[in-house]
Amino acid sequence: MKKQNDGSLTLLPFHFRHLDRERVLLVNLSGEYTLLSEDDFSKLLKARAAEDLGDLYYHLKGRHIVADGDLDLSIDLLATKMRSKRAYMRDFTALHMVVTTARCSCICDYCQASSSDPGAKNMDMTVEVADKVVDVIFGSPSPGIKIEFQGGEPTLNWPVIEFIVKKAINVNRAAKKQLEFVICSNLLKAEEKWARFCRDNKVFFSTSLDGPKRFHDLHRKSRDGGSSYDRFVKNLQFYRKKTGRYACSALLTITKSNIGNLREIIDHYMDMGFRSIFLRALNPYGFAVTNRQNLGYSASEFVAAYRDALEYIIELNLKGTYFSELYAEFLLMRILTPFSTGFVDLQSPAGAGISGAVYDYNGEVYPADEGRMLARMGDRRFLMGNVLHNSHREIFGGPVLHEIVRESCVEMMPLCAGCVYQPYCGADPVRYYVECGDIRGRRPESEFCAKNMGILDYLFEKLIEDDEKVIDVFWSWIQREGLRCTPDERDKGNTAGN
Amino acid sequence: MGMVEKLEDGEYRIEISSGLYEKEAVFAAAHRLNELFYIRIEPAAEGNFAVTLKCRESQQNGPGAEKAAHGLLNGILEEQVRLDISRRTGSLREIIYQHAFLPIEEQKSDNEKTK
Repeated sequence: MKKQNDGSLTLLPFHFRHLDRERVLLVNLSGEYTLLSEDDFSKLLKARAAEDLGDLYYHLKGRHIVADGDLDLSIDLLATKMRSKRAYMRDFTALHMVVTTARCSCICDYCQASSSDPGAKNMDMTVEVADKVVDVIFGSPSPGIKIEFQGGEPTLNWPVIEFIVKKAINVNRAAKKQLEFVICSNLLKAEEKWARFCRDNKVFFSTSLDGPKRFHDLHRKSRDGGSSYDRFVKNLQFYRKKTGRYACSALLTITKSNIGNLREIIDHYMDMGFRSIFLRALNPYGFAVTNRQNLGYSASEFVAAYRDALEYIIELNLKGTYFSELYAEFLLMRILTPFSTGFVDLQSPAGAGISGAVYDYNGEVYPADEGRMLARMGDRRFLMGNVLHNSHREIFGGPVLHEIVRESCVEMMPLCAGCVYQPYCGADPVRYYVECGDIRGRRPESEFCAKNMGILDYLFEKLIEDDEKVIDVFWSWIQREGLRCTPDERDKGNTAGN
Repeated sequence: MGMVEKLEDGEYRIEISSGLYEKEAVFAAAHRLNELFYIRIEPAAEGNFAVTLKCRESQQNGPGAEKAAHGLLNGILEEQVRLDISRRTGSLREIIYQHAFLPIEEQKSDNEKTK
């Protein structure tokens, strides 16, 4: 690796962006950022020796933007930091989503999976398929395995959930991986024996909550005509009582109906005992495409609503209530810490297949849930194989995943290659394919890009403002614990906290 | 770099000096405007580039479009700076990536060699 250096100043690789006429944001390869004035930026580009930079030299050297005599050390440090941040790539593949049935007791207006009626035939995973699914899952070299049951409504095929959990635990006695289970349920139904099974086998629930009853029932409709919200509330309380207070997390889907009411929805989440919310935009799949007219909004509308909601959440935290937004939390972890943060939808190369895979009820395997949804819509482009006919190697070493990996490195993608947010961002090839028919995507027209840019712009505004109290809130999210005291208490010297 | 010339039918034409700016910088900056315009890039006099921007039908050809067309000038300059930085730092980037993704065993022996 030896890189000769004659002692002159060396510019290390970095990305930049003019925030306005006076300020330029610089981010190095490992995601460390700094802000320069336009004058200092010009000085940096012209500098050929440390003296040319004056006091700026030490700051830029500390941020790995420049190096001089110790170039080897700088390269080594940057490479090590980059390696740490990409550690998730060693966990090939950690998240395995298993569709136990395509049937569902709800018919949500934005259903991505185009679910079927509970009475539909041949829509359930059989035990034979489930058996092979577990074999393929344990073919993964990842030291951690999370099996997430999805649908439809996965609990409609409860025996297969039980079968997979039991078999996975059995297989894991020899495999010794870190094993987790999550059931993604609409919570329309709850049974004592399910709760007992979940408690005994450490199976968690992930559910959806669109806000107060008038929003939740509006688009999350039960097929029997009753209120899905009322049963959701009752069953959430039931599971919490039986399996633990934090055994259930919830996802929000933002539609045209609730985008203007996010503050109220956040209050509702807190009233329901949740400590976080994921402000999730509508995805362009399944019924969400058919109903786009009634449900959709522009990327700029989403970003405006997101900013307002995050302002509100920050205010709540400053008043002493711990509550976080999960997407911001995850991005802040990428920006502020040296740790690896594997988030399937935002990785480079894409997390599809590498970090997560979906097993449909009939044994077909897709790199992402969206790939399965496309197949339901008639496009089987992302089908990687079938557990009944293919081995782990054939499925995960096949042409579909090879193409995704090859074409989803943001370091080489048009516009992403020069984007200042590149070290924090990633690619979503299935989403790009849906947006424009090309897995490489077209950034200027991409809603995915516009939303992520808007959110990162907002977070960097906050980081650059450098309000100590807000930064404390951000760190409390990263560490997942509340502020030890409110800023007012701290100012008064009281650090006993709440 | 020439100024923005407003043509009929909602088109804008900009002539760019090929002596100062590279084709890659012009392409990258123009690509950013894909959503607003139909874009044509072609050779012009003295080996320069001519960029013609035509508003997409769905977009209004108002002050916003004119501002965006003028923005191309700054955009090309910024992309050229990006290219220059990339050229100065490109070989180091290769080394850093290579070192970061080298198997640990090879990394150790690589470090030994450098001592």
